[in-house]
Amino acid sequence: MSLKYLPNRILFQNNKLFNINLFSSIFRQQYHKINIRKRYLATVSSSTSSDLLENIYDIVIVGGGISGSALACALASSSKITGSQKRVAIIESSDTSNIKGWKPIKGEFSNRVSSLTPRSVEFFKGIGVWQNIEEERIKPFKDMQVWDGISDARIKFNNENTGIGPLAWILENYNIHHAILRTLDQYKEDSDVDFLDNTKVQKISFDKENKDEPFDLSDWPCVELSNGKKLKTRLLVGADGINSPVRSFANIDSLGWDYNSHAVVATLHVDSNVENKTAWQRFLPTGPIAMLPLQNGYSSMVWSTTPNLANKIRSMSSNDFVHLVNAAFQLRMADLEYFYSQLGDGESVDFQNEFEWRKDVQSKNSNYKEEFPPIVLGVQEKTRAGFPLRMRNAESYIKERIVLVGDAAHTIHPLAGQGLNQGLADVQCLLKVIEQGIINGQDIGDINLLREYSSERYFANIMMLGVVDKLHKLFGTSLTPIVLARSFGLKVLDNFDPIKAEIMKFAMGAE
Amino acid sequence: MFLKRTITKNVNIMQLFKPKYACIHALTRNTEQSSPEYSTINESEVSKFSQIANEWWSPNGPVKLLHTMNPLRISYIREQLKNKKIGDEVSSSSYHHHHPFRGLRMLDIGCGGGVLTEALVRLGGSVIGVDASDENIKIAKLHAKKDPILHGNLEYQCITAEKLLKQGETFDVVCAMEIIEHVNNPVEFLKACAGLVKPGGGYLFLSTISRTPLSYILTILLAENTFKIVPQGTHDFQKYLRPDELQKIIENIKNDDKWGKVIDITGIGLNPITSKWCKLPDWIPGKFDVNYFLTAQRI
Ligand SMILES: Cc1cc2nc3c(=O)[nH]c(=O)nc-3n(C[C@H](O)[C@H](O)[C@H](O)COP(=O)(O)OP(=O)(O)OC[C@H]3O[C@@H](n4cnc5c(N)ncnc54)[C@H](O)[C@@H]3O)c2cc1C
Repeated sequence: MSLKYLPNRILFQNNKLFNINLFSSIFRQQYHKINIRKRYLATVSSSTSSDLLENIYDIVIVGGGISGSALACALASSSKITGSQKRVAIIESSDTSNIKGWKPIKGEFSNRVSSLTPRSVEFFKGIGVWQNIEEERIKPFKDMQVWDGISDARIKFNNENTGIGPLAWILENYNIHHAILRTLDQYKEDSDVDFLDNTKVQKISFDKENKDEPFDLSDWPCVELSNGKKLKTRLLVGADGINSPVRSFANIDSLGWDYNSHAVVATLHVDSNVENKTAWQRFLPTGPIAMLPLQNGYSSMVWSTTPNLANKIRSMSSNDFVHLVNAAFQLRMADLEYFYSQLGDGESVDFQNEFEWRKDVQSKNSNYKEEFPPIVLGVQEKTRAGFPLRMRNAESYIKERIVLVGDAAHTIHPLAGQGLNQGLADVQCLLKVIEQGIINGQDIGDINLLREYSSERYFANIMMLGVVDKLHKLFGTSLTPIVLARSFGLKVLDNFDPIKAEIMKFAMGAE
Repeated sequence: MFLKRTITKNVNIMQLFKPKYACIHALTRNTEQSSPEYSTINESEVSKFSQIANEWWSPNGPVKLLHTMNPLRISYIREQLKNKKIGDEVSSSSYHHHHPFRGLRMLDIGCGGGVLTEALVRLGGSVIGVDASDENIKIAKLHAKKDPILHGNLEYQCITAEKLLKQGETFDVVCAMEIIEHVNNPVEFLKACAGLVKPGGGYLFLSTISRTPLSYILTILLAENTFKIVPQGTHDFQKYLRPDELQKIIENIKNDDKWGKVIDITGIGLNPITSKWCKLPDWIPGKFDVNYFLTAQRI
């Protein structure tokens, strides 16, 4: 920037702002943060409390779950956001020190894992998160088998020889979240993101009395925190999960229903002699049971079932649990029903014996040799946990100066492992839209801009919610005609590669 | 039904599409001798826009189309200014990626509620927005308070281009977007706009609607009458100028010497499916037939 012509270009005599801009462009790196604050301060008459100005943000994200943190990180990674000196805050009610300090322990796995689609992985690579993931705790898989609990009709997806790469990557949520927060920390010098954990959003409102002279921030959301601070923000992002306080504030309804079912998760010890490289899912009439590979010898289970069964599954002895899981994956429905009948407080049979002889009979009588997941040998202590399953979609994802992402916008049945992936696709899209707004000189809280986000994401999410909900309903029945029809469907599909390829692409997040 | 009514109203509809140079030149000569108080402001147009002043920023209001067009206007201006010379300095030397208009003194004529004006400031410009309607200026000032980042680099004035010119102001960039079709005497108005551009490389950005059968159908029959996307009476078809006419007017302007030349004309259109405005690619036959942008540079 040449200095000689600057003075005659200054429009207004009292233009302190201009000098500060010049200053900041020279000393950008070191003085970046101070300057943004100065910039606001410089613009204000001395009568305005500097307290208020300290608490003005361009973007406030409520919720530091994976979606919210990923958004903060994406914003921090973007030269358009940092270059235009946007101030960001992210507020999380829980203490994140356990996430920040997470270190993998050999032979132990967290029970909360997610399968990430190629699209999500690409996104993480783009914003620098993937580089911080603990590599030995990533399990890409190229094989997936899904079958019908009643008819055993099966569909196999195999990306082994297609050269497309893995179908998905299984990671512990801790691994993902840890990497995001670490990456965010690495951007600290060059960005202006305040991460406030252990801080709850207590109230959101519009400050209708204009005390911000010479400004009028009466239509900027004002976020009151548990530490007493009030933040005013140009754009408020709700990444605050299914019971989103931001959504309630915006008066946006969320439509949907609770499935009469719970998901039980657990970390399983499986036969380490088998190469653990396939994701397995069996649709039982009470809901799907899935086994996802973590490492040779370790898998993660997600078993969606009735709340009643879920409670029993969680509280039974580890030993019986292990064989119940084996039965759920390997035995016919009639045999599994027998196991269910033995779940109770009273005396019950030896689950191991029952499983072994029934399996023996089944394999002797059966003339087809289907593949099954590795035999489960044990369960990691304290990893059994249950989650109620719900389906929700917000009536709208945006309002003036407000936008919803992740589970705050939509919650999906985990059977297709898409919930988080959808949230990350939201974040990716929102980043793009905000960047576009900056390039075009728009106010990034402007509803005309935010519409671009909602029109892209609403349709995509509704599609996914619809498909997954239909799958859940389709497989949640034992009615013979439907079982026949869906089994026929699976068999046809299994022999029809072009459609399989399309399904794979959809599930991989290609959209 | 609409078609019938309009046809009977304008008996010889084909006359509407005839070239306008002849009458424009007559007008020019005429007004050269007119009183010094002469203004191109059309009072009824001004009051029309004053009435909707409160609606400038309502997301579904009558000017929604302008909001959706604004990103394209901005990207057009950005693109035209990129790496080009302004005055004796090269704009690329001050070209900051994130504030591409930093260091530029800009004027937005007919700023309305400030839709374009604010965006120019956010991208680094030092901008004056002017409008003939006091109501508009009031709304624009109120709205500007809603964004602290605008503070200090933005000024609004209720003043005409002609008066501003008399005050001897000049600007690196002058924008007169979607305004020519609302003034009384486009030639006089354009002369004032052109005079406000800094000599030696300053830019003039214009956007308007061409006068073609297609633009008549789209902007008057459909947009105003049938679908009511914009308020009825927003446009006066007779005031539309074709790009060749506009170019001729500009290139005929003389200040001592020739004023300058038109360096770009780009046709734009609204994609009805995505409801986004976009530049029309070269292969589209009638790409200049409805809305278009024009860039001219002063010598
Ligand atoms: C059993 C199970 C298995 C799943 N498996 C997969 C899978 O394989 N793949 C996949 O993609 N998805 C999966 N999902 C879905 C996925 O876990 C969720 O979609 C994802 O975690 C949602 O993330 P989020 O950041 O949007 O919301 P959340 O994780 O709910 O985060 C919201 C955050 O907001 C914070 N918050 C809330 N209120 C406030 C407040 N007032 N103040 C401050 N902070 C607040 C909360 O503390 C929380 O940290 C699964 C879900 C379940 C239940």
